[in-house]
Parts: sequence; structure tokens; C-alpha cells
Amino acid sequence: METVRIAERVISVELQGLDMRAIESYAEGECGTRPVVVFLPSGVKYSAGPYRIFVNYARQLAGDGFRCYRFDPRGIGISEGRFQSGPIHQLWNRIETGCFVEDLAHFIGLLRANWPRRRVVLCGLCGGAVTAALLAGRHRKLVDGIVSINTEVFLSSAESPPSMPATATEVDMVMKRYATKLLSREAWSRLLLLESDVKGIVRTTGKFLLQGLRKENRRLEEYRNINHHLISAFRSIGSGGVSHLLLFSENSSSWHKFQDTFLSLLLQSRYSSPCGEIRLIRGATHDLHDQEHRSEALTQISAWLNSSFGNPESDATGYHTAHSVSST
Amino acid sequence: MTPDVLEKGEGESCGFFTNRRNKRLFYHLSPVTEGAPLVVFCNPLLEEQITCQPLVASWLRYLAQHRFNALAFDYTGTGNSWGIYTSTPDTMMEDVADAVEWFRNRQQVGKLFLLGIRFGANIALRSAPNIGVSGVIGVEPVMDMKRYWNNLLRSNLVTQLSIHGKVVEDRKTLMERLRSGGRINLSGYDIDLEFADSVRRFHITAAERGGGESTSLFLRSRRELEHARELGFRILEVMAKPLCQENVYYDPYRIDLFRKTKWFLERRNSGADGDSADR
Repeated sequence: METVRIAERVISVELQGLDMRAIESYAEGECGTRPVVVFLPSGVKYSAGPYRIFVNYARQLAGDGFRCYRFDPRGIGISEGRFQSGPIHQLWNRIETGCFVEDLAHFIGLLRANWPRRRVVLCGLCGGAVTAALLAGRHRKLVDGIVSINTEVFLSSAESPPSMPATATEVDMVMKRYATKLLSREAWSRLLLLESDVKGIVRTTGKFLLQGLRKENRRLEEYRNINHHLISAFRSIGSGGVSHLLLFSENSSSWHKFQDTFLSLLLQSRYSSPCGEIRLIRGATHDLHDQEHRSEALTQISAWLNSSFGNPESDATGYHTAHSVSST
Repeated sequence: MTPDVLEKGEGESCGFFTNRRNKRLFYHLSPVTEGAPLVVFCNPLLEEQITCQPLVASWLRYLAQHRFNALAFDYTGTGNSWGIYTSTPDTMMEDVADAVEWFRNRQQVGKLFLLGIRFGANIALRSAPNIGVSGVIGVEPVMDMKRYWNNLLRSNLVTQLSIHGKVVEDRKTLMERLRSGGRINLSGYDIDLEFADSVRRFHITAAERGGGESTSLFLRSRRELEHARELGFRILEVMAKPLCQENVYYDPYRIDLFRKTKWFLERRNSGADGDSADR
């Protein structure tokens, strides 16, 4: 098996007097036309990603001939700028409404000019996936593809903390968990000693009972705190021109929220539609905590990139996939 | 000094240097002032490295504003560096020495200081005697290793709860798995017995107090403060706001902490407190 050496360097792009930085990864000697893949920060976590997931993805994909960038907008990671301090849900809300989109658009514009023959794919997890979709919605000509991992369809807010189930599927999931604990002495003693989240249990049980009484018949836009910017972006993506892979973790609340809202009401429950191809990673958590799930997600991403943007066999450079990446 | 100055890192650079094991390590370096003191950051372990990165970046810029050379880097297999997790603390100490060596080879520096965060403070304290430092700042060092290790194991249990709705493998079973040659996941990273044992042995002892005046520790609780006092550390303070609380409040601009460390560094650099540890 051939060992590919990956080169990495830090590049800077100036915007309004501040340097935005990205780490570029590419196989030494590579000069093909395979797409550029840009990895985005997950929330306020810089572009290495949780458990440095995107460091490993960028290096693996660079070995396959992709030109990869881990990009930090202003105020994040190694880029200059200041991202305001504050309660985390407020900052997530800013990201979910597109505060990084123009920085990213500027960066992608320069990448496009630098690599006119390559297509551009964005990859993000949670808030990063939202940023990617919003960019594609607003600047469709800049992007050819998106990989959204556990995209979040609701806006973060102080009133509805992430622990509170927002949709019927989520409520069902939580109730199933409660049911498994009915015979547990430990669970009952925690409840009686008020060590459990009693308020949350009461609210969720109330929601569950109400669900049984009235069938939910809401339009997508009527969901409280639904991200309207993201709905518009999905509609724009669905009108053509941008390939979209939607990866979800089975145990992520983002998946349950997506199922009840975007999947059933916008995509008419189709796992494959102009808005995107949906794939599920069984047993995985929201931020792909286990190495095995991170590897599975990468396999899915690689396969999708090859099928959507041409596999290396047919690439003019003839880059081979049978390789290992040097770890130094 | 207003917090706004942290926005711009005029003249700073990022890139990779190669350590003694031929691994490329990622660095973030302030603009270099010839002959000025050098402050090297020692990162925490596992996912705390990722969550503390914004704090390190703004701290580095703050120190640069005050004419210190400041260098942050990622240990082998962490952050943006090359290599595969996990490095043991001994490898991390070698990386600290290699980072200092790399900087000294390209620039004449004044005094050397280490600034360690969480487990990085333990690394800094243990590394100090080997590389001739003039002072160490430890922010929330791991004083109670047993508790720290239990919290790491708890991260595994919490994930089990979110996946299975219950704990399938308790702490004892996880440790047994390690002892039988397996790996377990700690806050997102697969670790083995060598890593587990080396971390659990990495207590702070009296040997690391470095003459008392050459070390400044910011601690999490009064209990830790008492413990540090018993070990002979003298410049101590309990943190008003703990670090690594990114799940609730994001604040990488800890100006109060930055100012206090600057005061300590300037004092040590000028030799105003006797400078016993430098000799």
C-alpha cells in the first residue's frame, strides 16, 4: 500500500483589516481537479472540531486528492477578531442566524479564484452545518456541495434549553427512556430525593399526554423557534445546483427534531430529494463521540464525494484511493 | 488596557515545527521581540484542549501587547498537530522542551516562563527544572488526581446514558477493560492503559514548588488552596470564575486573569522578588 505524505500550511485571508486563517491540507505533488473541501467550526469550537474530527477528515481526504481547508472565521480559533463573550445559547443563536456566513463567503470567493477548475464542498457539524447551508442558500454560485452533520433546525434560546424535547419524536424517545427506568430502584430513589430533573419530567410527560389527545397538524413555519433562515436555505438548495449530504446520528436530538419538521414537512419524508441525501449513523451521539462512528461518517462522506463529484479512477490525475496517510 | 486590543494579532504567525520524533507540531506564535522573555503555553488534556483554545489565543495576544514573546503549541496527536492520540505526559514534556528548543534556535530570548492550564499546569511544573525556567503559572492545575480521573471516567458513563439510557459498563468494568489490554473512550478519545497509568501517576508534589516565589497557581477551590499551601506553594489564588465552562458561558477574554499573570511575569522578569529560582 502506498503511503501518501500530506503537506499542511496555514494560509491567511484579510477581511476588514483582520486576518482570517485556515489550515490547508493536500497530498504532496497533487495537482488534480478534485474538489476543495472546507471544514467549518462547530459552534464556537474552532475548525479542528470536537475530538479534532476535522483534522483527521482533512488529512484522510487530502490523501484521496481533495484540497482541504479547516477554516476559522473572525474571532474563532487562530483567526484574528473577537467573538463576543456571552451565554452559550446566545452565541449559538448568532451562528444559527448566519453570523459567519459573510466571512465564509469571502474566503470561498478567494478559493474559487485560486482554484477555478475545482468545485467547492463545505462540511460542518451542528452549527457548522447550519452555516454551510445558509451560505449555499444565500450565495448558491459559490458552493457545489454541502456535507451537513447533525444540522440543528431550531434556534437556540434561553427559554427552550437543548435538554427540553421540542418535537413529538423527541418526546417519544424521552418517554421510552423513562419507561426503561420504571423498574429501577436507583431511578426511583433519585426521583424521590429530588435529584432528578423533576420539572423536565413533568413537562415532558405533560407534552406526551397532550400529544395523545390532539394530533399535531402544524405547518413547518409554525414551530416555535424553528430556524426560518434554514428553511429558506433548504428551499434554495432544493431548487438545484447544490449537492447535499445530510448525515445524522441516531442518538442526536438534532435528528429527532429534523425528522418531525424538515423531513416530514419540507422533504415529504423522502430520504433522497433535491434538498439532499439523508444517511443515518446507528448508535452515534450528536458530536460523534466514538471513534467508530467518526470513521463511519468519514466512509459515508468519502463515498458521497466520489459519487457526486467523480471518483479518483476517472480523475485526470488518476489519484488512487488505496493508500495510507503518513502520521508524521 | 481595553479588551479590544486582543482583536488583532499584528505580526503573529502559525505553522508547524518538527519535534525530536519527527512529528509536525502546530504552533501559534506572537510577533517576536528579540531578547524579550518567552512564555510557552502548556495545554490541558483531551477535549479541554479544544475548549481552551480560544482562551489561549486571546491570552497569547494579550501577552504580545505587553512585549512578551508568547508561544502556544499542540502536543503530539492533539489539536492540529500530527501523530496519533494518545501521548503520555512524558511525551508531552518532551514536546514542551522541543518547542522551547525550536524557538531558542531561531531567536535570542530572555527569560523563559511556562503557563500551564489544567493538566498542562502539571506538565509545566514537572518540566520546569529540566529546561531552566524563571517561573511557572499554573491555572487550575489538577491537584486531586483521583477526582480528575473519576471525572474523566464519568464522561464515558454520561455517553453511555445518552446512547443506552443506562450505564452498561461502570467505572470498575472500564478499568478492567484497560487492564486486559483494551481501550476505552474518555471524553471522545480512545485511550489505553499506558496513558491511564501515566496520567494517574502525575500528581503535583512538593518537589514542583520551585522555590515558592517562582510559581503562581490559580486554583479551583479553597480546599485546593490549602493543599497547595501544604505542599509549599506561596503565590496562590482561588479563581473567581472557573475555566472550561463552555457549556454555559463562553468567555475567552479573561482580562482579570491576564492582568494578574502579567503582573507575576513582569515581577519575575525584573528579578524584583529575589530571583532565587533562576540560579
